[in-house]
Amino acid sequence: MKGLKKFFTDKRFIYGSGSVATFAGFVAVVILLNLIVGTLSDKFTLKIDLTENKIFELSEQTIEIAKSIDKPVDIIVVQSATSQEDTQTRELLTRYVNLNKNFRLSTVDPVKNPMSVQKYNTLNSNITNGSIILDNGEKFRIVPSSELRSYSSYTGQNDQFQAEYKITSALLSLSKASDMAVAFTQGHGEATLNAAEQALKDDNIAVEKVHTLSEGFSDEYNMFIIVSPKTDFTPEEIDYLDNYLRSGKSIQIYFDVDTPHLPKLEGYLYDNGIVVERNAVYEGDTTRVLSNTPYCFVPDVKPHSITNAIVSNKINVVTYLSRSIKPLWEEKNLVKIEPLLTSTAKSVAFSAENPNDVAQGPLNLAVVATKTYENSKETSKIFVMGSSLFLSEQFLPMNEDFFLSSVNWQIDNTNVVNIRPKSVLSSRLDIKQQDYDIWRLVFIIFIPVLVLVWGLVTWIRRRHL
Amino acid sequence: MTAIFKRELKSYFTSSIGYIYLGITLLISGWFFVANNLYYAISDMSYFFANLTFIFIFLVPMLTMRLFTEEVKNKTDQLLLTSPVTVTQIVIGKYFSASALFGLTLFITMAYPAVMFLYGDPLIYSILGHYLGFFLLGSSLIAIGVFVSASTESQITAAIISFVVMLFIWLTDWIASTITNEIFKKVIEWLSVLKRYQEFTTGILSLSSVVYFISFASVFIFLTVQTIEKKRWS
Repeated sequence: MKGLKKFFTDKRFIYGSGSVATFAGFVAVVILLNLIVGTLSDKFTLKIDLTENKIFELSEQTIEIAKSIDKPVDIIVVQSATSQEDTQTRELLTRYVNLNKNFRLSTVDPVKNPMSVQKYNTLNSNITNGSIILDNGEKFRIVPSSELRSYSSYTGQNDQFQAEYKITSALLSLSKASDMAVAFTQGHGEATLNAAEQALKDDNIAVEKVHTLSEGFSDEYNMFIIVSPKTDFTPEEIDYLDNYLRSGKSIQIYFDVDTPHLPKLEGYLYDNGIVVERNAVYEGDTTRVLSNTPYCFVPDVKPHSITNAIVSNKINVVTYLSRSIKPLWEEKNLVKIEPLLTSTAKSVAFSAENPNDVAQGPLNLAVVATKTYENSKETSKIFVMGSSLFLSEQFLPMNEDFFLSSVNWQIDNTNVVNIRPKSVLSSRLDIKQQDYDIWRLVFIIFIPVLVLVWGLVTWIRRRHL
Repeated sequence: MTAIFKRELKSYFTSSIGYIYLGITLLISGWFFVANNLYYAISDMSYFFANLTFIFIFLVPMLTMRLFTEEVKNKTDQLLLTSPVTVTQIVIGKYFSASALFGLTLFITMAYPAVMFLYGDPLIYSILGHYLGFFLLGSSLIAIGVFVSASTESQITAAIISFVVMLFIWLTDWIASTITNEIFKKVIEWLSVLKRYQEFTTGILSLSSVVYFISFASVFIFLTVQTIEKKRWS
């Protein structure tokens, strides 16, 4: 008892306990201060974006779309513990979360917890480290990490940050009302495009297959897609199609190099100013050629409401074995025809019927005609492309943005995300070799040696004091 | 406090340590600048600062190792502690002198962006953000060095312990990645000064990060004061 009393009255105990208590109190105050500032900083974005192109500032369209979402959305970053975190994307996601209380940001480690990622693995999914999953409980969208940035084709350097475009597109797709329906025509030997159908379903658009000969072109569908038919449409079907388009609906038609001559269908397109040439486009610009075949290449994407985001985000599309499309006019008879994809001036197209008939590029590969009907004031949109392989399983990963953007523009042009990417390239220095050599000498030799010699002189002088 | 600050700052330049530190730092940073920016003709200083961060784990102990240990070695510690200044003033004065030398080094390296302006159009705000972040990171590491110097009696021991502690801090993110307990992991991650510094290199000037660095340095300065006070009563 005496020892205990001595311990408690010992000077070291009194000062020591006081010191520990003071330090603990100080640390508690510091932690509290940091928690308060951290919370306020996140909530009110008490941050300054120092980047040249304000890459963390969200666009008006993103703010509008994010604020309109009224269901909880889990934003999951797939990130293994050992890999480096993408701090730019994380900062951007934090700003999304601040826009809407329904957003919950979390991280999942696919190595430690593979089951949590497995349920998101589907046919078209590409989940890698750094990918972002957006899940509203009913549906989910995946933004692959490879699509968050674009890289210069010349230097391979990351030149643009396009995460906002990708994340907002995914959010929009997730929140879209599921009352849109697209029908693929049947009964003419049409090709089946499973990957394209899946992409539409993933984008919340219902997909059906319709025998137009028996069922016609029902206006319960927002759009019909005709893919490489082997037999022609009947005059009745063309009438159904015309009536369908007159009600302000849309259609996409894909031809192939082996699609036979279809007088009725091609005649209808001719009346609307579009001729699908019987040829195959050969790209002469070798920098655009893929898989060592000039028939497989990266075409020019022309500015249009469909393509604005694709052009500005420098997303490449790939065509293979495509026929050229010849518009008969630009604007006539209330039909406006606009090119979407073209080959370069170095390209040529060899005719299937006459080998001596060679058309010189640039050639249109995909066009869209907007037709306004005088009586009803309705507007229909006709999209025509010279290759259905554009939507095949092999090429759809490259062309999915273009395809979905065209479908969304045709059926409901409010659903087209138009967010520009932000350049992350730092400005270049225009320095000559001679100047480089001088500065190298100044910074690596002259300044450090000057300081060290100055130090040596001071040391020697002080030694003799 | 001003007298302590001036005395300490002057002592860096009356001994060889200040020149050695300055010379080595300018040699290495000059090398990094030439190799990362001038060679590739780019104005982005991210790589320059990323490389420099690791080097400072070795350089900061050089700045701080003698702050208190030299007083013990020269037996001037008793004189200092009985002088008409508080322990807090002594610690802050010494801390500010080391931070000032560190700031002076950074100020000299501002010749690098100045040269880049002759050949291009670097983004001044991004560069200033890098400098501010690096200064705050360095000042936090200096606070650790000051604490270690006050807790040991030999310069070499202070330098080695400071280096080990800073290396541990450098590895905080890696340590956090190996922890399975989510709460503990979050605590470790929150303590990571490098993660905070990354905000500046990403291009974000965040109030919470600035407050964090100031708090981090404050805790170690407070701890240093407590350590010296302890010598009085123990």
